Amino acid sequence: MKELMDEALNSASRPGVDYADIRIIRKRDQQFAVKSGRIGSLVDDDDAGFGVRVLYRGAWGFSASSRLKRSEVRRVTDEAVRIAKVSARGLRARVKLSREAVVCDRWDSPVLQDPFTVPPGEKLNILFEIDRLLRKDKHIKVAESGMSFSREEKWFATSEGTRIVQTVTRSGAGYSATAVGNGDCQTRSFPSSHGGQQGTSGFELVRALGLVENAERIRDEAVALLKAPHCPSGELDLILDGSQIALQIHESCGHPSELDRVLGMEANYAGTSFLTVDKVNHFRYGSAMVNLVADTTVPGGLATCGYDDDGVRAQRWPIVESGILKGYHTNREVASAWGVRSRGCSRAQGWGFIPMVRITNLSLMAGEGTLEDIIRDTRRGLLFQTNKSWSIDSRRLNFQFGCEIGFEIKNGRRTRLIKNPSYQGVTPLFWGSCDRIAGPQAWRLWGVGNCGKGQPGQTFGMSHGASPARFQKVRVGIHRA
Amino acid sequence: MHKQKIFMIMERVLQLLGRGAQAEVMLLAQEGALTRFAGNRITQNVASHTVDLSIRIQEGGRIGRAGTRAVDEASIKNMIERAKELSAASRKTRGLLPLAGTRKYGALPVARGRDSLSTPEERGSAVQLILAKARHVRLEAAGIVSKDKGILALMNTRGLRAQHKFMSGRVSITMNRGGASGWAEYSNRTVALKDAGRTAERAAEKCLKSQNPRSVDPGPYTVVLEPACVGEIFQFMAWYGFGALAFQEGTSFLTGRMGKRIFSPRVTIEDNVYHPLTQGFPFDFEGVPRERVSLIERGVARGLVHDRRTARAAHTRSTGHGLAEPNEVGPLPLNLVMQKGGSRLEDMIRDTRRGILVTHFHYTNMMNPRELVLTGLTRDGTYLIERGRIARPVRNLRFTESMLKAFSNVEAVGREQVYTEGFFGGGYVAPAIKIHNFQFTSQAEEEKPL
Repeated sequence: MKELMDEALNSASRPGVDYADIRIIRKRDQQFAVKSGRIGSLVDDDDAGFGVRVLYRGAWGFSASSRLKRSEVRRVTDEAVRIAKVSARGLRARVKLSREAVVCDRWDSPVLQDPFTVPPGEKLNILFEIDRLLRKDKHIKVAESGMSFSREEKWFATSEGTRIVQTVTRSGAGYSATAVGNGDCQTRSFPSSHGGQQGTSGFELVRALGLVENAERIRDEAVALLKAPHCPSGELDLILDGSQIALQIHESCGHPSELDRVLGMEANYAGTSFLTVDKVNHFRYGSAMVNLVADTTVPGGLATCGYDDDGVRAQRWPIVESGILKGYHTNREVASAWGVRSRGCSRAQGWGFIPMVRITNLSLMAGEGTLEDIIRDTRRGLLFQTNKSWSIDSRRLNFQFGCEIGFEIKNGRRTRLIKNPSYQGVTPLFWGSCDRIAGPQAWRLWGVGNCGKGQPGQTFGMSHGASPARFQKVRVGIHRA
Repeated sequence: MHKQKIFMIMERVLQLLGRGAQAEVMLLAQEGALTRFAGNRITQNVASHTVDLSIRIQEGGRIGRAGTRAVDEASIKNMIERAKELSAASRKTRGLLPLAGTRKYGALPVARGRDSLSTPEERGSAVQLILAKARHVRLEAAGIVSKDKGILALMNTRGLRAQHKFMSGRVSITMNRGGASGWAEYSNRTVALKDAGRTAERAAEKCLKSQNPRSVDPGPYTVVLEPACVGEIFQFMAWYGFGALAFQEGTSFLTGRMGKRIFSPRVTIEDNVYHPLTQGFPFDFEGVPRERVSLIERGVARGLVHDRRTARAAHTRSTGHGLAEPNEVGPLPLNLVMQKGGSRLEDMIRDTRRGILVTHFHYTNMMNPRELVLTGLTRDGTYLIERGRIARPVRNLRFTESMLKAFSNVEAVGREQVYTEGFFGGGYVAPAIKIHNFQFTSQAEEEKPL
C-alpha cells in the first residue's frame, strides 16, 4: 500500500497543488437475511479501491478507481488534478484547510468476537429460529430478520505527511414482523426498525441483543395492533422511547448542525439549516435540560473511529449545552471557513466517494429516573415506540414522525394500545418542551445505518444515544386514513 | 471496459467455477462524473471508475452470492470460494427456481445527440454558464452537472447472455436569494450545454417568482403538481404496491383492490422501459426481458410486475422486473410512465379559482402503505393560484394525504411528460396533474422564539 500511496502523492506534487491525499480501502461485507422461511439475502462482498483528492489553487478535484495498480494510481491522480484545474476556473474564494496536527498512527476498533469467524450456518440458525417464532401466528404474513457485518481497512496518506492505518469492524442485527388482517397491515420491529441495532463492534453485539428472547412479544404486538384503535388527534404530552429519540436527534439536531449545510453547500439536495452561525452561544435550541453531545470516541458508536477522512483525531464536544446552541459538525474545509479547528467529521461512504461533513455519534445526555417514573408522572399523554416514518423540511424545522406502536397514558398508568401513532412539531419548540429525560440506566446508543447525503449520494452510519424523554403538548394523530 | 473484455472475464468466472453448480455472473462496469456547485462556485468535482463483479451459486437447492471489485484470477477464485461457502451453509430453499435460460431482448430507443458533458472541461463550462445566468439576475446557484455511463452484463451456466450499455446525464439547479428559492432539473441520456442553460433559466425564473413569500393556512386545497411531484409519488407507489410480492403478502395498496376503480379515469399508469424518455435496462437482474405492463388503466387497477418467483406463485409469467437474487424486496417497476393528458400547465392554472402550484416535494415518506398515506413538504417554488392566475409565492407547506384519495381527485392531466430520476433507483415519466381537496396539514419553516 505504501508504494501506491507514494505514487499518488509524488504524482500530485506539482505547481499549484496545495494539498493531496489518498485513501485506499479494503472492505469486506456480509449480509444474511431470512424472509418468511426462505433466504432473503446471503452475500459476501469484497470491495477494494482508492480515491485521490487534490486541492489545486484552492479548488477540489477527486477521482477514484477499483484497479489497485501503480499505473492506475498515476492516471487517477492526473485526472484528479485535471478536474481540480477546472474547479479553479473563475474561483473567487479559495478553499483553505484548518491547521491540524500531522499524524502517523494505527487505530483498530475493539472486537471481542470477530464476526467473520462465526460460521455462516450459526448466523442463519439464529435467523431461522427468529423466523419460526415470528410466523407462529397466522396473521404474520411477513417475517424479516437479518444480520450484517463489515470490516473496513483504510490506509490514508496526505501531502502534509500524515499516515494513518485504521480498521473498523461493524456488526448489526434485527427483525420485524408484519401482521395482515382487518384490511390493515401493522409492523413491529426489534430492537429497532430500519435494519435493527448496529454498532462498531464484533459479534458480541448480536449476542447481547436478546433477539430470540423478544421474538414472541414482537409478534404478538404486531397482531394486537391490527385490532387497536387509531392514535387520537390533538395536543398531548408525549413520551418517546430511546430509539425514536435517536431519529429525532438525527433529523432535527444532527443534520442542521452540519456546518456545510449551514453554509449552503447542500442547498440543491438535502437543504440548508436554520442553525445559522450567528446563533452560536445564545440561540435557545431546547429546554435547559437538553444537552446534546457529539462524540466519535464513544465505544460502540457506528461513527466511532480513531481519525476522520481528513486525518483529524476523534473527539467529543457539545452541540447543545443546557438548551443553548454551542457548536457544529465540521471538517477541515468548513472549520477553516468559520475560523476554527476541525471537529473531525469528514467521512466518505467508501474509496469511490469524496469525504464530506457527516453527523457523528450525537447523543442526548441522560437525566434521571426511569421510563416508569415518567409514566407515573404523566396525567394524560401518549407513549410512542420505534420509528416507522420520518420527514423534515429543508431547513430542519417542521418535522413529522410516525411510530410503530403507541400506548395511552392516563393518571400515571399505561393503558390501551394504539396504532398508527404520529406526531408533528417545529424543532426548537419541540425540544423546548422537553421536561423529563430518563436516567443513565435507560440510556443506550442506537445505530442509524442508512443516513443519505450528498450528490452523488453517499450512505453513512452513526449512533445516537438516548433514554426515553417527555415533551409537553405535542401535536399528535396527524392523519387517520 | 469493452463488451468483449467483459464477456471474457465472465466466461473465465464460469470456467473457474467448474461443472456441477448452477451459477449466474453479473458485471457492472461504470464511469461516473459529477460537478457540484453552491454559493456560485464549484464545491465538489469528482469522477470514479468501478468494476463490480458478482456470482450467484445454486447447488442442491442452496444459494449463495459473493462479489468483488477486482477481476484478477486470485480475486475471482476467492469470490467463488466465498459464494460456495455461503451456499454450503445455507438451508435448502423450497421452490428454488433454476436459472433463467437464453432469451431475446427488445431494443430500447436510441439516444439522440452527441455524447457531451463527459469531460471535466465540458461540465465546467456548463457550470460556468449556469453561474453566469445566476449572477446576471443576482441569484446564488447550487446544483450538479453529472454524467454516468457503463455496461451491465449477465451470464449464466444455462447459456443466458445479456448486456446493455447505458448513459445518463443530469442537470439539477436550485437558485436562491434571501431564503426564497427556485428549482429546475433536466435528465436525459444525452445532456448538452444548452440544456444546462435552459434549466438554469427555469430555476432562476422560479426563484424570482418566489421572492417575499407569505403564509397560507394549511387545509384542503386544489393543487397543481408539476411533474417532479408526480414522479416522487410514483416511487412510493412502485415500492409499496405495484410489485407482486407486496401484493401477495397483503401489504400493497392494491391488495383487495385489483380490478376495481381506485383512481380517477384520467389516470393511466404503466411500467414501460421502452418509452423514449426512460433510462432503464431491457432485461431484469435475472436476465428476463422487461415487458411493458399496464398497472392502472383509466383508474382501474389492472396489473402487477412480476419476477420469476412471484410469477410462479401467481401462475403467470415473469414480466422481467426481478432484482438480483436472493432478495427480500421482490419485483419492482423501475420505469413507471403516466399517460399524458390534454392540458397545458397554464390551462390547469387558468381553470383554478383558488389553489396551490407546487414545483417539487421534499422528504416525502410513507405513513401507511395500505392506504398509501404519504407526508412531505413543498419546496423551491410554491405559489398561490387565485382566479386563474399565480397570485403570489407562499411559504412551504406540509401535506399528509392518502394518494388513493388524491389520485381519485385528479381533475386534469398535463400534455407534457417529464422524466424524473428516482431516489431509490429507476426513474419515472410523468405529466403535471391537477387534484382537488389535497390536504396540507401544517406550515413549514416556522421559527418562533422560545
